[in-house]
Amino acid sequence: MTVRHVYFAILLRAFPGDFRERRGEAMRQAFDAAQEEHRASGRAALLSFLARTSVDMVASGCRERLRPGRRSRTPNGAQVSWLDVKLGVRMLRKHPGLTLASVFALTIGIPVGLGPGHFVDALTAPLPVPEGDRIQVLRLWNPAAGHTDPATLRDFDAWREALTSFQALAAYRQASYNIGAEDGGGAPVRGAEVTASTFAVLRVPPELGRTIDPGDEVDGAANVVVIGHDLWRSRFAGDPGIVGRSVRVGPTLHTVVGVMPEGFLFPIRQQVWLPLRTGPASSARGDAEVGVFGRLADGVEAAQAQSELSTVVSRPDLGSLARDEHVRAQVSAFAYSVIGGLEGGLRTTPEVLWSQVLAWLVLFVACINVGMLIFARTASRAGELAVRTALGASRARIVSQIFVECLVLAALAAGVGLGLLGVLPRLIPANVSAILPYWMDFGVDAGTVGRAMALAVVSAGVAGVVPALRFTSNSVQENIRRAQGRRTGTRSGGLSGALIVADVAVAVAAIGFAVTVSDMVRRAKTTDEGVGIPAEEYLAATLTLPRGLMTGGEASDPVQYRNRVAAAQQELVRRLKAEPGVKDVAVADALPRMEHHSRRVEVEGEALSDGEHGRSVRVARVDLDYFDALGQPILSGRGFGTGDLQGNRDVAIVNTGFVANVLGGQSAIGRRIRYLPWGDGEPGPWLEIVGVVGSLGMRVVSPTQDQGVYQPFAPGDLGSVQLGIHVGGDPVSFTPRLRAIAADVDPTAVVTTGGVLSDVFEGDWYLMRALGWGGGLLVAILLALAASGIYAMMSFAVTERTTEIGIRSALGARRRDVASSIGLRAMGQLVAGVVLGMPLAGVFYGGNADSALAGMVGAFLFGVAVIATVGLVACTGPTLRALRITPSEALRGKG
Amino acid sequence: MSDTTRTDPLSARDWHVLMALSETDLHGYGIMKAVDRDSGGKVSAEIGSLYRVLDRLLDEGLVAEADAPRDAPDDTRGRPRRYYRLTRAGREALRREALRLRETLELARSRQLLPGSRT
Repeated sequence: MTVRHVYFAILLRAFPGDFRERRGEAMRQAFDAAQEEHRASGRAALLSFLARTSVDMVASGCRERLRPGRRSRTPNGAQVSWLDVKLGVRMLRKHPGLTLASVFALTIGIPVGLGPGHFVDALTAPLPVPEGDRIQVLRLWNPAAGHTDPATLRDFDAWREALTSFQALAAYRQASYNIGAEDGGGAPVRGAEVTASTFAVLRVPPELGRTIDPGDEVDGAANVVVIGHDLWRSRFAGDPGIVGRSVRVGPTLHTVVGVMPEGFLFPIRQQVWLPLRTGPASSARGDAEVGVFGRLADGVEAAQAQSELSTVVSRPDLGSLARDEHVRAQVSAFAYSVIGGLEGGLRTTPEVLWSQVLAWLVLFVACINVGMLIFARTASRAGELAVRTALGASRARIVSQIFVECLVLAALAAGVGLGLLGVLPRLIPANVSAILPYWMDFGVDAGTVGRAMALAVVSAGVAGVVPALRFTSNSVQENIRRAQGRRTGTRSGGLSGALIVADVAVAVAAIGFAVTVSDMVRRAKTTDEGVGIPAEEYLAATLTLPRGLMTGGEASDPVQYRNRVAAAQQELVRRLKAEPGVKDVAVADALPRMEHHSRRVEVEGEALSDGEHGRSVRVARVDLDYFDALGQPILSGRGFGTGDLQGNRDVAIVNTGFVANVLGGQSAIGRRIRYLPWGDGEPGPWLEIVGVVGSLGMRVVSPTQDQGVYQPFAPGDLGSVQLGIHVGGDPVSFTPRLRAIAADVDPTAVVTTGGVLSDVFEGDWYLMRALGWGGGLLVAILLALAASGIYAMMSFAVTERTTEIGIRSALGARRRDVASSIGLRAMGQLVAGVVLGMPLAGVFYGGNADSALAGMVGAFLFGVAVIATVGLVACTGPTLRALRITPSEALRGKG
Repeated sequence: MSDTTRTDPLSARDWHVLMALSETDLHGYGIMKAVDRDSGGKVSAEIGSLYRVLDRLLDEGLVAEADAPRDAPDDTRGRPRRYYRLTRAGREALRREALRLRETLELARSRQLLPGSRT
């Protein structure tokens, strides 16, 4: 018999005995056959099957037990009545301490158990439009390269022509625009160029006026714009006559033809929509990258549409661009347009599966702890249960009653937990929610409530049924005899003690983890060690020239567009440098403190073994004066010069991290490196290293892994660049002047500021912050569970030892001795847990080589102090209760 | 056996389980797969839910246990697998439900609620 068989046998216990007798064997056969087949399909499929089966077995078993009019085919079987529910509520009131501890543990456990699924649901929620789940995004996933290949207007035209699985297709391209009244100016607003079909696909009518018509897409048509409700209210004071008014979008005036209703922010959080002028597919414009989406035709499922799209993509003769053979067509929910290419959906990713398993583990620990509390309470009712047994109540009847009592408790906890989940969205900072996709919905819906209740039932099963079965395993005579002797008839055994030790050990380890993470965040935030410049003196800004606002020739001709971008960038930098107070301007695709792109490189002369994919490095493209502007000397070799922009530009400057980590400290000048592709494909050209600079915060969170490569770029190479403006003093106050100069240089130029460079948090920063929060939350949860477990054990110990305590008091034992004897066991478990947890915590410290010994010791002591405090607080209640028992009470058996 | 002349509408799960058995006798996992296939995954028939339904349908006399086919493999413990078949009452219940669904469909068509409906 395998572990899975044992597990299924346990699940089967959720059903009433007579049902098991009739159908148990057949159910086991079905489980055998199903699990064999799922195992052949892989680990993920098997895990998913086991999870589904577990929930279904427990839920079905409970439903079968609670089915009205169920005829038990064994005499005096488990029956559930309102009386049990009332009794359950009465028990909650009778034992407030236990109720509080149990509800607390499950209030944490149930939302944590729901958490990963709830998050995935929120992230992949359908668009808030009629039948939003039918809106699908069409993408080309390149598994070898690990990213999606962008679709182009040419693809869009071909797909629109060939696909029958969609009612209609639409395309969009995101950008930011300077929006103002006729006089220009104003801050940038997120917008999108969209095809006229967008609004038909989404089925959202305008609040005022009209949406974009097919006639607006034609080159030479009048410039029109549709604005969002929020923009209409904030910039135009909700002017009822807005339709027909002229609004400056970048350099040109556009006529407002419509206002979209409140809450319509398609595709992410847009407030402005311009016509996407598709032009003839054969023109250079056909290569423009767009997002493509559509509404599935009636009766067509996403899988069918995907199959059809695959066929169309594989046949370039139908008009699509020819693609790499690895590229796969994907049709998935619109949410995946921002999540990335995930085969099988977000739910099947290892990260989500593991998070779910961990979350369920936390819930399981919470259930075990509540189970101990229930066990202790059941033990105190030995007499009552013995009498009921003697009067003819079956074991199933008593177990079902305890289950219902537990269910009342779990339902209460689920309710509180759902309330917490409901409050959660309000805790998201405004600056974070402002960038979240508009369809993301963290609210609690009927599905969430259903899942919470299912978890409550499972929790009640684990926490209530198992202890009840164990407690009721004695014979009637034995129960009566033990009840008379004020004994509970059973002992908790070593398992509960081991669980508490494990709780504490994990809590100590988690504290170590949380302290390590917070230490890293603090150090990276407060020091410029990893950045190399006084970041607080720099204003970070992004300069973009949206192609969509160019006039016909510039938009379709890459050379014209490039020249215009180059001219604007050069002139802006020249004007900025001439501004009083501006010390210098650095231009690059990423500034220090920002998340730099990651590439893999090969060093000439160092053979790569099979399966090795080169060394991971961070890369940046910088202008010729970048290092001067940041005050960074070239440590060896030379800086970039105008000559490096000629020909193949096969030069690079590396940082000291690169020299140390990739070249092993050897001389870098003259060595050659090249980039390797992520998947199959040809490596890039060889680049000669001409200089070495110090660390400039390409990966500030992990300065020891900050190996990077810089390459030069010429103005116009990049449509969007980062500007690091060295202002000194208060950099943010320079923002209006920056915008004014940019608007003067080129009215189409969009400048978005990221604030002071020292406050820029990107990429790994968010990960670190999330880890910091997650670690803190985990510590709080584990401490709470450890505390409730210790409370349960103490409570149980007091119940068990009532008579002993009374006799000891009668014999003159001091209160202090009684208290210490009660607390000794708990403190022993605390110490054992702390000792076991220390090596675990050491693992986290071991991974952080920068941590000083003093910091480690301090964190350990801090962790121990926190655990000891929690333990003492948890012990206090039961100990005081024990001390209140008088000798006469104990001897009369009323303890 | 509580009722062999069931006239109330069948639930989606009952309908798919009976439908699965209308073709051939099946064991439990066979029914699960048939329900999943026929409903396009829309009706869940996990083990616990399925056997609750089967238990009730057996009780109502719409389904009966059947002998395993001669060539059917035994289970992992070497015991013959349990098979189920549709009874005459079960077939009649299916037929009644199909008629009811047809009437419902015709009503929906007459109200032009379906694509391609014509007055």
